[in-house]
Amino acid sequence: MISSDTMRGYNDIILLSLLLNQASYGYELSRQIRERTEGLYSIKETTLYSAFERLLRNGYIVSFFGEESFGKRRTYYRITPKGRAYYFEKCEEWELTKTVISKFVINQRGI
Amino acid sequence: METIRTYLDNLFAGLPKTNRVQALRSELYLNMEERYHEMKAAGKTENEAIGIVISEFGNIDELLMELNIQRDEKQLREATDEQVNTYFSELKKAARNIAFGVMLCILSGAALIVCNALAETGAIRFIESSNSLSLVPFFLFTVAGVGILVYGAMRMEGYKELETQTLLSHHLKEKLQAEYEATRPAFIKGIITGICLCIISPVFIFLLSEFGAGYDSYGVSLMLFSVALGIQFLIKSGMLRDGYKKLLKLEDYALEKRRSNQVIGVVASVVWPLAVVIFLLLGFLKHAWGTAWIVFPVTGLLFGIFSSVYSATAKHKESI
Repeated sequence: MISSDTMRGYNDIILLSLLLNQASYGYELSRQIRERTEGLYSIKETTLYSAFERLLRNGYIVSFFGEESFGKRRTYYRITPKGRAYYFEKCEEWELTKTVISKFVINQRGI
Repeated sequence: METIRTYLDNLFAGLPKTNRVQALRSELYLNMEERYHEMKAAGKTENEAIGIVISEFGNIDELLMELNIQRDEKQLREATDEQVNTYFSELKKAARNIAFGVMLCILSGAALIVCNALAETGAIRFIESSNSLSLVPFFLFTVAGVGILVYGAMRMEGYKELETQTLLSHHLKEKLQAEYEATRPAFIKGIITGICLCIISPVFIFLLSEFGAGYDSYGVSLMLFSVALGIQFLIKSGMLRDGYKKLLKLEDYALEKRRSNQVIGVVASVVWPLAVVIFLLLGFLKHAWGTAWIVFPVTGLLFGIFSSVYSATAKHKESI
């Protein structure tokens, strides 16, 4: 299980990447995260919605109401051009981070 | 699903009810519901599914910080089984104390009347009629009564927070609701007995006046005794019932109704002692024991009208 502290900075990347191709809503996104990571990471509801709030405030996503098949009104989120730019920026940053941190991390074989 | 709803209700209870918060809450609920059904479909039991949904919820404070929402200063907390149990055992003791104290206060009037009557007939030598010594039993009863009454009321002081600032878990709420329903017949019996004793109380005056003029005052004493006994039943049943209503936030104790209750409570604490004073004055000064009791039903009626009018206007004001 990954600590939520470690993941805090990366939730934005994860959510934006899932929104790149299509708009979606809260539950669907958390389900996709669970599936894609094969259960290694499961985002808490409150973390998910904190991230939405932050992304909305910065103009990286917009929200709108969509009708679901059960007739329940759900809030959908769509990525904005600004969000897209931010996502790619964060991806580059991650590559850099990965390189830096890996200099200090040893795996079990000691390499 | 009811457990999940209660869980969310409790988390959101202390939060401002803005559209944004309400929308967020319903969104969270829909997500939890969907996750719950998914777990059930995957073959999990009801409890397992609820456990998973709640464990995946996270920490509400994280979200509140992001939304820049402050909780109400007095945060609502969940009450424990133990707290609720001690609350009811203390409440029963307090009700006994208060009922006994009120009874002594009412009987102080009877003690005074009996004392005077005995003095008049010469049964007690050392007290002469209307001598200040005849006031001694009256004061003893009053002091003891007020003391016990205050002691009983103080007992519940420490439970103010439990009564107003706490929430119940789903399981505790169901348990209390079941008890509340189960004790209804006992409550109704208690109230009917109490009211009957109060209503028939004047009968003693008529009954004893048949024996002759000298027995009037004994009739009044018996009437007071009957009223005191009736009020015992009313207080004990009423307080226990109110205890359930307070914890379950029913009727008058619903969160939004509390403010008007405070005002009504203040008015009640002035009006009722005043009624007792008027009753005693009419009795002693005008010797109108036979008719003075009418003060109580009249006060009750007027007070009832006042409190319903006040609640109605308070509600009206709030809705504007």
